Amino acid sequence: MSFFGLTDPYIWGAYVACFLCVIVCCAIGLMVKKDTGEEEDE
Amino acid sequence: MTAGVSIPIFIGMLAVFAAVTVGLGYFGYRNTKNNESFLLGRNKTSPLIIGLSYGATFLSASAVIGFGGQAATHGLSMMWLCFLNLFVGLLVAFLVFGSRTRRIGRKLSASTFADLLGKMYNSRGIRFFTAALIIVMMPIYCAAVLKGGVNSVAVITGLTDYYDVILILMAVIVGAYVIYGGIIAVMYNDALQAGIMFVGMAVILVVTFSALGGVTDSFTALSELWTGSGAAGTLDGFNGWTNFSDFGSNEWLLVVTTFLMGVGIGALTQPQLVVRFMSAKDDHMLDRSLIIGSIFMLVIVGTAYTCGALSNVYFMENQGELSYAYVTNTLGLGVDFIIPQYILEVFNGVLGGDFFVCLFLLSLVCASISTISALMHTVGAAGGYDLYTLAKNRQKETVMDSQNVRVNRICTAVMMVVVVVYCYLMPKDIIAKATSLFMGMTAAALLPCFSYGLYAKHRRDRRAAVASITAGTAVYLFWTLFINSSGSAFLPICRWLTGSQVLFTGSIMYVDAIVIALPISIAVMVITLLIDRRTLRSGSPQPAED
Repeated sequence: MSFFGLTDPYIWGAYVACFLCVIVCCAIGLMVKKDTGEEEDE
Repeated sequence: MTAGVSIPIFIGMLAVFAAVTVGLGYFGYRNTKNNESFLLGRNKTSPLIIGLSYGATFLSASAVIGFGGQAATHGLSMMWLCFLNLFVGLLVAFLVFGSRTRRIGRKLSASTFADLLGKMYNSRGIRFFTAALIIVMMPIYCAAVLKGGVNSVAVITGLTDYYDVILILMAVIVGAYVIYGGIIAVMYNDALQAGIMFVGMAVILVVTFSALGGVTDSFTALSELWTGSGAAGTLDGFNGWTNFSDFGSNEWLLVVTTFLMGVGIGALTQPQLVVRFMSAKDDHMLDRSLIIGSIFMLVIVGTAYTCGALSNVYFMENQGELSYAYVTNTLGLGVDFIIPQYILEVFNGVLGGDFFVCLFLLSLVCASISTISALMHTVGAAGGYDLYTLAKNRQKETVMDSQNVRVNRICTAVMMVVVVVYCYLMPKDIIAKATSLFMGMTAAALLPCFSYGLYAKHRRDRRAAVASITAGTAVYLFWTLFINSSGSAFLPICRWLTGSQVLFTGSIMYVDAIVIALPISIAVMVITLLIDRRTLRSGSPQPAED
């Protein structure tokens, strides 16, 4: 299997993992509700 | 090095940049009303500022030129470091550590990492140790970053005769806005610098793929460079720039244990990054800053490592040599100059090339000073807030935290001078290794007790924390100084004592200290916790304060 000319899954897997990580980060950030002010729940 | 930089354009860019930096420094100064605003600046943060500041602080010139040069040498396996930066350094750091750090920090009124750990365990000793570790170790990392930035600027511009002037000038500008503007100036300048870095690196990525014929052709050409025999700068087990090295080989041990694990895991206990969590007003702000932080990190680190590796194709086509051989042997420069040399040559003849080379140089300056400013603020706070508070409380037998901004500022200024002195004492080509050393040391010593402190359900066990810190520090130092070849070359104590660089030869000398020290630190913490829990059940109480 080739991914943009990369054939070693340990290498193209790193790129896929990076992009997945960014997607997860963006999803978490976008799902956050608007500020509800200061919370002290600890 | 090829002289290809337009000095007037670069000076013009620097002048505009310096003016904006001074303006943001003044903004920070006007909004620094007390010690809390100097150390945390909670009221002036936003998701954008936190995301960019976190990213810019995390990624110094070390990530771009230090590890970019290593990617040119060791290949695209370094992309796993990009993943670890994103996954561990951002996602895990924000979701697992960020919100609890913020909440507990606020509950305990902690203003620094040392303060937080000390108050978590009600221990002046832990606070002292953490502050001392920061003061001793962080200037080495800071000097490596400063030296890396200045070296690149001086060599690329051809202004090597003005090395001292550039070094002092950069130190004075950073020192001035950190000392007067505190964390507010640091974070706002970080955001500005992150923006410049983002544009600079994005352009480099596009130009690289254009110059090499597109994404697929570039990677295919890189694969075809490997002939099956060893390449300069690599170790046994290297399989080319588009293949991972053989499992357990010397090359694998170097890349995985030193670069990937040392830096990837070490990011979790970076005092200057922990403060970013404590600066957030609420958890939502931290979550939202993940968006900009992750995109920023992917572009900066991904570009540096991808272009680093692909520079081999470019240099082979244009100079007939691989990056490492061309830059180190032919040009007589170090690995840290592979990326700067590549930028100079790849933009040569490109429309607006002068402008983009200058933009890259400015990006390097930004990458360096965004990290240096955060480090200097952290070192200054460790001395001027943590150690000063401990000394004052000991003298007056009180438990009040210092509110004296002036002491923080004086301490930051003194440490800036120390960092400049370090720059003249350190060997070359140590940017990536000094970064690994600092991050590995803090992880081995502090990660177990920091994690346990954040998630302990009942009273935190101070004895377990002290035992873990002691074991992690001792094992890390011993392994670095006597077993690991990179560490013992950096601080040649083993050679002074025994006459040889390391105690044992063979593959073990390529194993980084963090692989041994962190598991031992965790094991010691768990064992002490179990022993103390059993002792507690039998009725013996823990001492109240150390």
